[in-house]
Amino acid sequence: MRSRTGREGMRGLGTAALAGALAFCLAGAARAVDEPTYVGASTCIACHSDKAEQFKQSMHGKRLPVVKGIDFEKSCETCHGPGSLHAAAAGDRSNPGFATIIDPLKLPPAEQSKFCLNCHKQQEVMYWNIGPHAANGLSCLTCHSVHQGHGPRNLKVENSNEYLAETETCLKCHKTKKLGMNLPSHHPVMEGKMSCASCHNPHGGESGNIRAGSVPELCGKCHAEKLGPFAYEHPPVTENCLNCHDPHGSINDRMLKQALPFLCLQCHKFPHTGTVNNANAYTSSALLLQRGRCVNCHREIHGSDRHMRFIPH
Amino acid sequence: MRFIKAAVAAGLGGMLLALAWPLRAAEGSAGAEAKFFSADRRGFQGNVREYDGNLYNPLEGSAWVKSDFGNALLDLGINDVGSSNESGRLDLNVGGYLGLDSSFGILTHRQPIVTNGIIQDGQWTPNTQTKVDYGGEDLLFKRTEENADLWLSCPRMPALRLLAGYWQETEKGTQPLGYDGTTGATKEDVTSQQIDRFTRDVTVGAQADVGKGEVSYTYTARKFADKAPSSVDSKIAGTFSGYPTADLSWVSEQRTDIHQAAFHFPLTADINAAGGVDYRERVGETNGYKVKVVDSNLGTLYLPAKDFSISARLYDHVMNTAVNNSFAAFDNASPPDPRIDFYQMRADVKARYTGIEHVALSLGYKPEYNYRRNADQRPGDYGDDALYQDGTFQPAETQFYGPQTKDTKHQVELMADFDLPAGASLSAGYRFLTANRAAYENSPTLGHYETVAIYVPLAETLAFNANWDGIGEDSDRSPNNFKQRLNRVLFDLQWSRQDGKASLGGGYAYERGKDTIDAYFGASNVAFNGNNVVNLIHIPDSSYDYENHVISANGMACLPLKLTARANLSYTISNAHWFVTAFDPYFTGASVGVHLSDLAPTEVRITHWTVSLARELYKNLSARASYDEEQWVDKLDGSQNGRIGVSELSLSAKF
Repeated sequence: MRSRTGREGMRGLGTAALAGALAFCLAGAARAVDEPTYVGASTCIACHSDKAEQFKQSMHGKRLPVVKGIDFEKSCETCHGPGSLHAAAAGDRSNPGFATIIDPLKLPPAEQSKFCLNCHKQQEVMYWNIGPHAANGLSCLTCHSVHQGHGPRNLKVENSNEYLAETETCLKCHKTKKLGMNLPSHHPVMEGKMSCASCHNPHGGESGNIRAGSVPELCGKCHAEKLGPFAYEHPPVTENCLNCHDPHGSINDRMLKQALPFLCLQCHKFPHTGTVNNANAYTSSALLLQRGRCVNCHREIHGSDRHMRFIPH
Repeated sequence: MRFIKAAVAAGLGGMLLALAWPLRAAEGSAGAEAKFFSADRRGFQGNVREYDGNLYNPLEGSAWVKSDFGNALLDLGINDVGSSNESGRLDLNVGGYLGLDSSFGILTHRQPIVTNGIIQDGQWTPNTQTKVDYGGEDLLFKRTEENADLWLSCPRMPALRLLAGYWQETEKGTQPLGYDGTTGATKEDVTSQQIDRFTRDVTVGAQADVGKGEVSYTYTARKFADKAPSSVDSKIAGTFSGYPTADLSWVSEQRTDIHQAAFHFPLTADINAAGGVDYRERVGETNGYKVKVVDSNLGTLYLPAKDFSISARLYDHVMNTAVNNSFAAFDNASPPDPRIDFYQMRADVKARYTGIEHVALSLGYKPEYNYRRNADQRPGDYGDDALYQDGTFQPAETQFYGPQTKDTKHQVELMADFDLPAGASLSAGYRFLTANRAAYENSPTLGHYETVAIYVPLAETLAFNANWDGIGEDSDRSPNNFKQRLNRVLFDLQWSRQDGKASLGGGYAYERGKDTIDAYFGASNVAFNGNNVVNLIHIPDSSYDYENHVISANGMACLPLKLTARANLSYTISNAHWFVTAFDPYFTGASVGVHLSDLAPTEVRITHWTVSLARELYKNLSARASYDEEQWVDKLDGSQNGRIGVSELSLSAKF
């Protein structure tokens, strides 16, 4: 039979134990609301040595110290946030501190892009937030990789040719565009002399995603001889090159949408009807062979200073 | 060579500059590559490998160096030196205060003369061309592009960055030219034409952080000159009376001033705004005409919730031409028509919702308004009655090919993306277009655009893709009744080993298009006035049909003895036709009884395959042998067939 003193002792011990447990819980709660602090990359490397090595070799790893004055020791937490609680959790995902580290890949697209845009303020990305990719839920990390990026653009796709890497990136989603690149008449995209990004700004452009305010001004940078202004203009040319051309590739020469004279007949009637009772009226097959390509005579079809029908005799 | 010297000088200068800062241990890497080539050319070379001119020197080389000099980064590379397609790059960053991004590239473009033919009596009949001083398949031009972008930032004003840039494009060489033969109305002469074009941009500007946003302004001075004389003019000058010969030394020059301003600013935590203005004035220095083009845009992205966003963007485009009335065009008998000044306003609004698990929905609306001043003052009406042999009658002043003064479009788009089980995904979209009138004869007044894409991971390392795009457009602009139907499908299957040491893939893409018009051959007919008959042909629902097939395959394998093998193949089948039957009974003269069946036939096969074998010989030294072949086969005109096979042996080293 226990003495009364023993029961009181037991009660006291229980109270102490309860108090201790309560203190422990309170201490735990206090840990959960502690703010994380910076610990440095040397702590991160203990678990993430492979990521650290990738980062050191990456574009960001090399440029952060030079361009931003951020040494490697501070580089991880520049993007991922202070990691003291995450490190202290030591891999225990049930520990509330584990999730205090920022994983950009798990953020909504708009939040992901905010990370990058904190530092990247070039003109190239000025229209990102109102561009078509952002409007469709893409982020910088859709195409770029900080840790494993390749080439000067830090793309996920690896190719020793920078232009081909850009093109392959775009074709991951815009697959059907690849067909035109293999057609008889095409821009030198698959040859690696230019890329989709030569004409389109994937970060958003002045007009939609093209690198100019309008199509003629875009094409006219490389094809200035077509821009004019000319004394005699051809209105569908000055308004939009796409009225006649398909810049992504075509079966027809000069990337025309249709063969001549069908293309011209869409708006113009085939003239040259000849005169009455002319035995060689221009509807003969012989004339169709020789006049089938309207531009053989109407050579300055984009506009002319020399002749109103674009015939530069 | 000029760029190479500049690049080397800049690189050395950057290195010396970096040494002025306190040094840390410099890190870097370098590499070099030597390539030996042998090319086997057969047949007509005009169509094969048009963008490198299939010109190969026996020896070409590349070199690159990347270095970290403590406070500076240098990336310098020169590729394919000795080839017709040299390129180079120089990137330099010094202490976060100076950045230089420069490059150059050469493209050698071979363009053959365009041949055409028709199918009559079941046989392909080419147009006859008389070659006059024609260089044949060796007509090519070289395009050189060089650019350098520089930015500067002051430590005391880190929010401000100064920008400067230079870009130039030079095109020199020859290209073929077909023209109306001088020996008769039924001949086409072919000659070569010189190309001598130069375009240059000089840009200065500034960019500044303003609060949490940025503003930027740049000014670009652009110069263009086309100094190539026209060989055709010298051949036919004086043949046609009334055309002066003063244009023999015609030089076209342009000067353009471009002002671009843009801003980006987060208005609140949920709203981002951006916009800009692009103002440019282009002057034809030879004719004195001036074009002003102003493009402005203003947009915003609103994120009221994690799963909902709205984006809206307004665009404004104005193009105005000032005519120089003192310029007398060479064809003085016909003064220029009134200029069309073009004005466009449009908007793009899209809402996106991801609140349903595994589903993303978006709804978009795009209105567009176009106004073309003076369009109604331009000629375009056919002033005579026209009676066609099938009885179709077009009264005078009812056929008009000029653009409409005004037109308004509305587009509505619905997109849905679904995340499916096992990592698969499905996307589907539909866009509807309606316009109150067709601006041009081939502009749609009704359009349907569909897209479907599916991705299925069949296994951990095996994935299947399928895509379909559909386009249907109609124009109610009589009497041409333009229609377009286009379908594209693409299938792709890719497999790779878990460790990345092998991969295999293949794909098939198919495109089928049909453009339809009422074709009118001839616009006036005096028969209505009771005089003699001219056979004018009208072909209702005349269609240009085309289909393209592209079959592709790729493979890679890491083999024993440190060998890596790669192979790629693509095979393109391109066919096009403009089938007709109406011409049969209506030929006159020597062509009586000829049956035409196709006015624009095309049947081309393009094969391109590559195999390579690479091996690491020693650490940082590797060798590679490859063979690349491209073949062009024209099923109608065998004279266009050609093939080139290029063998390459290269050695590359890294330091």
